[in-house]
Amino acid sequence: MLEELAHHILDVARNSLEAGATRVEIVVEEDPAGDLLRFSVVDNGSGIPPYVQRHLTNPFFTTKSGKKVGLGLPFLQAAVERCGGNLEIKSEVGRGTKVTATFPYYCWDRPPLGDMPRTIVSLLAGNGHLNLCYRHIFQGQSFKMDTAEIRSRLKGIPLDAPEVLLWLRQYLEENLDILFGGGDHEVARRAG
Amino acid sequence: MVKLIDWQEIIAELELTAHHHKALALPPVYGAYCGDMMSDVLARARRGSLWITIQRHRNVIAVASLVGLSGVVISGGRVPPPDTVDLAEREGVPLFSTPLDSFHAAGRLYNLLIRRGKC
Repeated sequence: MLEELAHHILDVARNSLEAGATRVEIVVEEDPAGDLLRFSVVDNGSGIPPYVQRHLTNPFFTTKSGKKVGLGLPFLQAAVERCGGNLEIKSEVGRGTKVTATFPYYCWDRPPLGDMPRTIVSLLAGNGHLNLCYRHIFQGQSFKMDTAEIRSRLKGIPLDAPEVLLWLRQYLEENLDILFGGGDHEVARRAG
Repeated sequence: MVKLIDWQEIIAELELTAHHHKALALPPVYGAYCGDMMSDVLARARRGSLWITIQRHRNVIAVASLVGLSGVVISGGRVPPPDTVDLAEREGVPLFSTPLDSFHAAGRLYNLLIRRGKC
């Protein structure tokens, strides 16, 4: 069940991987004062042909080639609509896709953001070569994780080795805690 | 005078597991509501009702507290995460889970309530 926005983000990003993306950028922006929560997933995958784009949020549409469209986007669309938010999907064949979901921050029916570290680690498990960039903005402060940067410090250890993923999850949890607590941003940078 | 429905009976009939503090005094149950959409529950559930839902995030406790519900039952064998349990304890909201799905939990509760003339 997609009960957290983090699950939706994972679902959208998995579509990116299925589309052959080698680079995925996830941005989560929380602005309680501006009553806004927005996330976007940008990939360099194969893109979605226009005839498929028209059907993306139609739950009864599926491509016959076996490429998964599934119920993920219709469910996200429904979650967005329940709160009067907005879902935008921009795609260009051969270049990639950008999915942006915007919610009011204060809406009872908005799913909670949920466990982003788990989403990031789940994406990387089995996809150690993926270039993943995750940026989280909270009240104007931001935290950024880039697998390219982490990989350069790992000196050959695969990014999706279990101990690396365990470390990464903890690292993300700690840094998000600092971000949400409005703590000193330098601490977050040093921890990396 | 209508007889109050006994919590022990509800707990047995709905196969409830409590997640709140043992010391928490359980308020009387005057009715029930079943739903997963927060705004709907806010608008339609009544004070003193027991709420059956599949939702388990912290907002559930906020809604229960705002409405003045007698308790929350998370259905479908789903268990509340620690932060929800913490908030329930802080707010003094009785929090349960059941292996029954919402339909069966509501059906059993309906029967209990109807026997007490509460539906």
